[in-house]
Amino acid sequence: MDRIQINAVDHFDPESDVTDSGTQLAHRVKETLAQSSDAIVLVSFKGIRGAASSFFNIFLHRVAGWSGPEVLTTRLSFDFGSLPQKLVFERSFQAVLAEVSNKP
Amino acid sequence: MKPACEIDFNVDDTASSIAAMLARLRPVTDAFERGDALPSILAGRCRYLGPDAAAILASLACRAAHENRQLSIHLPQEPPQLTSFCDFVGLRHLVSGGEPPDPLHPQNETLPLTQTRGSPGLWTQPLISLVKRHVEMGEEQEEYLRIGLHEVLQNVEDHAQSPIGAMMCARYFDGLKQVRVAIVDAGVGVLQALRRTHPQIADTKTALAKVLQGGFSSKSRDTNMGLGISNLALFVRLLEGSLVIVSGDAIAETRSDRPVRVQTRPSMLLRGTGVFFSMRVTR
Repeated sequence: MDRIQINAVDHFDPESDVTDSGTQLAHRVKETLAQSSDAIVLVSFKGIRGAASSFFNIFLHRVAGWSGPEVLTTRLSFDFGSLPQKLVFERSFQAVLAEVSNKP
Repeated sequence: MKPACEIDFNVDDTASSIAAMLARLRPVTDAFERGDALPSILAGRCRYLGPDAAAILASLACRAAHENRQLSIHLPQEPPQLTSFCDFVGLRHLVSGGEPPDPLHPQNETLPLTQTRGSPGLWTQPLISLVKRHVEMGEEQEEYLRIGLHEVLQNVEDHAQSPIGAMMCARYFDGLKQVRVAIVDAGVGVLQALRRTHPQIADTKTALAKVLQGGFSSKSRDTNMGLGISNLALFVRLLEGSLVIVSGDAIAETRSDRPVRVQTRPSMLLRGTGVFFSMRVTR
């Protein structure tokens, strides 16, 4: 199965509103998912520093909203630059997944 | 004679001393709410103030300025270490004017009071630079500190509705290899924010317990998940630190060596929210 990597650092501006970065990254993911119907998209967060839960929440919600909640577990994989980053992401991931999966 | 309230004890960045300070400042808080003349704050007999006390005093001063009201704060004149701290943290500049502190002074172990608004990323690097001037901080520790600070500042931005943003300062303690950070806003407080989506929450003690537990959000943004403070709590426990949160009449504390404790202290009142955390920054 093909794998396509997106580097989140290319879409992250630590000094701008977190909505901008999270949404921009989600756009990139949405486009990539649409261009390749069965590839796994690896989102690498390496190089990003200080990304708090709000950034991941916005990113994950946007992806789920635009591409369907199922892609979070079937078409995406994630790579991290640090343990703190991974901890924050995983807590957001579980929370967002629970919320979007329960939506009617 | 103009009314006054006195801080005549040491405020040493612990939950109990923060609560005691806020109880002494209750007449000021009440006067703000009633629109009365603000009592003077007399701290001349205090012999220790940390960043927590500095941020609390600064938030009151900023709120007074915002509302065009007069608030007189008398800072300690001794001992020398305390007056130096009041200079370096910018309290004296805030209260009396004069030269602002120089955050790049080589002996400076203090991040001066900063009024934060907008994206958290605007405010982090000075804190990181302060710590790195004194100690070699691991990349992981740096990221815990950076993210932890961002979580608090993002909460202020998303939920607080604070007319002054937040007042932030910090101090590095070389003997402990520890940084202490204080962030105080003058917003609506945790209870009012959470009751937007959880109207059944009846008091601030319960609201603080929920935010520390995680998963309870005011949904100021529809994507918020209520994880910021619980993330910070996780970090401080991992890094041998502590976290104290004050809002309204309640105070919560968690440390690496004890579970979360939340109490109501009817004698104190903070309009807004104060987040005070510490982390060990080296292995």
